[in-house]
Amino acid sequence: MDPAKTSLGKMLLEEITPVVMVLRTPLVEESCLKNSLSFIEMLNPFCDFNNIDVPVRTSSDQPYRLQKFKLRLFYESDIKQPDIVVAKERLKQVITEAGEKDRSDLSTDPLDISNVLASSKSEISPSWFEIFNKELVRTVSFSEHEAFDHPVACVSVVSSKDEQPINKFVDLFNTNKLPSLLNDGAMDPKILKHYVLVHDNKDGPSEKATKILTEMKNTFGFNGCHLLCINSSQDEQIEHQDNPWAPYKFDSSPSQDLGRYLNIDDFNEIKDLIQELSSKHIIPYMEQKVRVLNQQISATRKGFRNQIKNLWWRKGKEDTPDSSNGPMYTYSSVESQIRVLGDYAFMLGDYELALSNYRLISTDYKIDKAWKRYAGVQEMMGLTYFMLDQSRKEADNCMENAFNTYLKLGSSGRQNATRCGLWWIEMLKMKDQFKEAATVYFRICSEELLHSAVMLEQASYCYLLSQPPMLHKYGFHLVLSGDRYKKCDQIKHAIRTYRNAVSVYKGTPWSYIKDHVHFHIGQCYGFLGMYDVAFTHMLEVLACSHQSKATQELFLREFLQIVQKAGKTFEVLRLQLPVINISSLKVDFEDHRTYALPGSTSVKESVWRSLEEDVIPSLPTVRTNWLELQSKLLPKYKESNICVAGEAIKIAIEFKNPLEIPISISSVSLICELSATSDETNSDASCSTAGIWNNEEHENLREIISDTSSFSLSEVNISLGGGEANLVQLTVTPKVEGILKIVGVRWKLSGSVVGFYSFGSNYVKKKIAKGRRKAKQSPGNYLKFIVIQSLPKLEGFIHALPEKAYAGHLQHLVLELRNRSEVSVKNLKMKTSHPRFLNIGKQEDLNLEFPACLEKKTNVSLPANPKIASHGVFLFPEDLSVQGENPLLWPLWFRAAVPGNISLQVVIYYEMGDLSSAMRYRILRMHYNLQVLPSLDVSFKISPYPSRLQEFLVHMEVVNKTNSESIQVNQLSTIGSHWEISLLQPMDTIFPSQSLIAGQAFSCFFVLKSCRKSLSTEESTSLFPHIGSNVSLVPDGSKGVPFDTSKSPLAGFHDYERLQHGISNQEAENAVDFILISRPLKSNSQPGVADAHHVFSHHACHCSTASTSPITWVVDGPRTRYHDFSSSFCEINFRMTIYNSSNALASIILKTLDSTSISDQLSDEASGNQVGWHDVSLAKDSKIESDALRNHVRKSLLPESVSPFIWSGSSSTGVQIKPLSTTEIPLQICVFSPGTYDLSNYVLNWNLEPVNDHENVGERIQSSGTSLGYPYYLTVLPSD
Amino acid sequence: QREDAAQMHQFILHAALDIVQDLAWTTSAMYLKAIDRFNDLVVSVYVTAGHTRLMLLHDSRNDDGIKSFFQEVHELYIKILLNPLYLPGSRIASSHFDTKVRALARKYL
Repeated sequence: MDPAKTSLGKMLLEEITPVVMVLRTPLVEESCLKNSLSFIEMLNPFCDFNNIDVPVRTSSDQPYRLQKFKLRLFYESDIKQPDIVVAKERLKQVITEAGEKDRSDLSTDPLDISNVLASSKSEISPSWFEIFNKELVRTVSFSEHEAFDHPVACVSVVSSKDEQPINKFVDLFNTNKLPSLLNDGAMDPKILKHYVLVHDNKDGPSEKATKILTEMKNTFGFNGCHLLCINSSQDEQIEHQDNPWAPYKFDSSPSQDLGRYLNIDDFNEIKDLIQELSSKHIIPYMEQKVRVLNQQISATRKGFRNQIKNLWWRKGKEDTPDSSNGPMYTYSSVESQIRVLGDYAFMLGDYELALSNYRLISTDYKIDKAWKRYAGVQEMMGLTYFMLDQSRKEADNCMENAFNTYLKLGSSGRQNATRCGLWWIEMLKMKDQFKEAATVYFRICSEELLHSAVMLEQASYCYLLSQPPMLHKYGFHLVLSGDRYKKCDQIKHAIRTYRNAVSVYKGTPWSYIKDHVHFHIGQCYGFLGMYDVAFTHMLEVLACSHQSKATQELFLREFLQIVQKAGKTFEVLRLQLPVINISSLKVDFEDHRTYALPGSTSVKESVWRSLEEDVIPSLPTVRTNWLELQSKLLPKYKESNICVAGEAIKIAIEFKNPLEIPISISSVSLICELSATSDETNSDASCSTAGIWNNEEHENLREIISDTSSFSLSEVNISLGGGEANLVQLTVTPKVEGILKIVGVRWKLSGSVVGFYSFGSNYVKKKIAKGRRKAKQSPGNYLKFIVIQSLPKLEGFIHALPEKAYAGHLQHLVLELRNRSEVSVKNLKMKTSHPRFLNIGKQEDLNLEFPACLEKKTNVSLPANPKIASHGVFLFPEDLSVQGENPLLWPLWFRAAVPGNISLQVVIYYEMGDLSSAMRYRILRMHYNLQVLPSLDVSFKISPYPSRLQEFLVHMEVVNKTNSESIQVNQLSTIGSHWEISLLQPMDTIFPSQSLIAGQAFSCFFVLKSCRKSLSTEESTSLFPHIGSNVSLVPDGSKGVPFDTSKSPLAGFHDYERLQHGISNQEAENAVDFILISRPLKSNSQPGVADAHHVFSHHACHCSTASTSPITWVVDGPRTRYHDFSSSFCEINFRMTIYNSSNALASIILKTLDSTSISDQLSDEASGNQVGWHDVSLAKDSKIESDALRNHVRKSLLPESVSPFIWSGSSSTGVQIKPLSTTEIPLQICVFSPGTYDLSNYVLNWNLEPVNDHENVGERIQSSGTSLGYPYYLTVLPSD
Repeated sequence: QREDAAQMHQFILHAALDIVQDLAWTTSAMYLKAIDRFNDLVVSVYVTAGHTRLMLLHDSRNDDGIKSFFQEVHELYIKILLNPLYLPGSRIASSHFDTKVRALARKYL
């Protein structure tokens, strides 16, 4: 590629060209301004020659033809380094203008990044960069160290109207206005001079002008003088096609005005003038100068001798203290001459010559430490290499060297560095080294924001253009640039850069980046008043929980400001504030299942189901065919939810504020759609498109919202603190039949932004993600309801059910049922989940006064069992129907059976009074949570009363386990008519305080007597199962009427307690049930007085009285006997009474054993069975040992020893005992010597006849066994 | 001010991804050293075999320390990957990982 054809080449051929200084009088300017042009502007279009075709011969003898040539014209006042402030203003103006022009597509969506990549290079970067860069390069023109900006020629222009034009020419040149470059000796003041006389044809004919011209020619020489006639067109204005001046005017006034008095003659005259000036004067002059200088330099510097000399001379100069710019070089110094030679050669296109001179001078400057000049030469070397299209690396090195050297100079070299950088960048771009170009752009950035903004933006485009595109860098530099633009109030530029950045960062998970970009672009749009676009961007930053609190506040404030300024309510489909926790979505609705309290739905459906199993009729009795019924009721919608018109559907959904600052949310309500039953296809269609959210869908939603005639919605206002989550309860109440769909939820943020959230879309995704487990129930149906006509609904409430109770707490409750509709309900049934806790009373119980009703009445009526059907279902009386204003009240008994947290469920089944309704029955579900605290811990231990038949000792142990309550123990009752209980000792002696304070334990003994007679009494037992005997544990003084344990509440609960233990009513032979009744003391009022309204009952069931054998016996006889052993041995009679407590016939064999063996054994036993402190386990061991011993002794009899007593009579007696009866067996022993004897050496073998009707399942009664004798001590004393 | 720093750091790291992309395939070493700089901030990168990029933005120069730091973090990361419940590429929520990395940073950086 020809370097001259590249953009940098073109730029160089335009910028590094000979400068012509123009001196003119004010009258010249005046004439030109008639065309709205200055003199220079008038000439400018003709200074650019693309095909000048001038032969040039420079140092080499080879001539060549120069094709492209350009002159730069400047007024003498402009030939100086531009003022920095002015230059900045100019740059700013360029940028602002570019911004104004850019307006067109600000509001459109940013392009997708792939589209950006596909577009061509020229499309990517805005065109005004070139203008900007050119302006930037021009800010450093006319530096003294660069000869190409030094004027080559000087043109003096005088108007023919001027008086004494010849003198004017001289004056122009003599004034002090000449640029400093000429005056301070930086350049040769002897430059080529040219004299032009301007004649305005409007001022009259040109005779006078020609006269002056001849005068001029005489004075200044023939060649250097010219006459230029302008404004030849007479009166009429000329419209120029392709106005040649237009491209040169930046702040263009209407372009038609330009050159309006210049006709084609003027045109040609100007053209000829310039052509002649360049080809006949300037180029030959430069040629000449190049040759002269070249000769001089060759003489002084070329050749080995000269080089050595030069080096020597420079070394000597080293000591001179220099400024940072190095020594001052005047035009006559060799260095300046070399530089001029190089620049002229460059301008004439002789790059080889230029390069050799630049090289030569570069080392000199380096040695002189003239850094600025050195950098300038390096820069030119780089450019020359480029133009020669040689060694790219050299070019790069030179440019880098120059750039770095300029930078090292500090602020003075800054602008030069910028220019150098720009040229370098162009060079790199030519070689497709965009990445490197971008880094250079980055290095050009100065502290000045606007400047660096432009540079960074250009850098970003370089990154985009590099291969492969570096998108991340592109985005980053765009943002850097946009940020700077914004700080400089170049909002449109900022928007452009940020918009491009948005396309890069679209969907990035880098949250801070996303927030920054969207926030700033939103703000920019806000400045411009494009609130809609600003709003959409601001939406993106709302959910900025990762940001600090201050930033969150800033974001939200800015957002609300934009909303406010926009002055309308926005509606947003996916408003991110607050966050909606879709998994918290909970729907409560009532079909045939209705709920008494909102908490009832927290109980699992399966719990309710199992409870309702027995209540719901499995086969509707009225209709014969189940299939028929189903299809008639709910065509097609078997799996859909059903709800009833007029009854609210409750939706609970969680709103969460992700920010740390509070937000207020108002008008939260559901979005619902209620359609007639028929158009199912429609709803299905909308269901399938629910996943896609577009504008159409949005419209659809709004349509849905507007149509709210057929249902009513609730509205909720909440305010969420920082990080707070709130469960919002929303309701929709359909008014007519049809299909109701809950589509989503809407809310208003801070009173101005409406957010929508669709349940459908997310639900679909979630369900699919979860797999196919729930595929059966399509998600659409989850929020779809079939609304059926309104039905009666029972409302139920249990009055005064405590939330917290002590175990055993007994209370009378009232259930209230209410039906607000006109239609009555009937066939009520009820069931509770814990009959131990809640018992259904009789209607008469309703108005009982509570603890009093427990007390024993004198006239005991037969307690009738409440009407309990199978499985504990309670049927209300058939004639009962609930309707209208009158509530149904029904008594309930409550007793806290066991400590713990109890979830108590009650279901009430009812049928519609009118059979035509779509639902035949409904169920009211009630749910209560109870906390039951432990109160008294009661345990009973029963042991047979020694030496008494059918009597037992009951050891009751009571511990008060409450935290603070004192409890008075009132009464202990046994259940069943065959038990009688009485105190062993009077209460006053064992328990004087009569109340147990918290933590106190107390034990007490009772005597329990069995008064069971025979089989014949069993009938009455089953008739009066709860009649038993009571013992009052309170002293007589405060004793009230004893509580009746045989009546409804207590007896009922006792039955359930027994059921709980798996014991039926009948099976109570050897077991006894106790009910302990106690009352808490009023803790705060006077102590010792029981709270009249609280009664606790504690039930202990199936406390076994029986020891292992059903046979008990007592040996009756004297304990002490005096006898005179001298006369004879002593005979003593005993009576053994045996009782058969079983219901079977028992045959018993009594064996008396040989006394000798026993006595031996006895002594053994005495040694083993010590009295006083002894180790229990050891005793046990010895007992086993003694058992073994006894067996052993029994076998190996010792006949020679004589025992002190023997059993007389038969050694074995057999008897048969009827069930529950006693027998007496007489016994006799003979004692031979005085002493104390243990008469336990007998054995009872018993055997029960199996009786079928008493063989119970699961309960093993021992059918045979052996019992050893009880110890019975007899003391025989000799009588004197 | 700190907010600005937070987003600036993200920007710098994000921008360095371009260079990582180029460099990662040119070398077999996992530790790519300091690959990018912005003013006085340096980005060091470690690319695992699975092409997970660990990027560290720092201003100190402690090449050896950074290298060991990356290696140990890589090990921790592998342990995280072994967790069958961790979805590769998702956010690491393990507090254990966090404290370990902090400890390593204190040790090496």
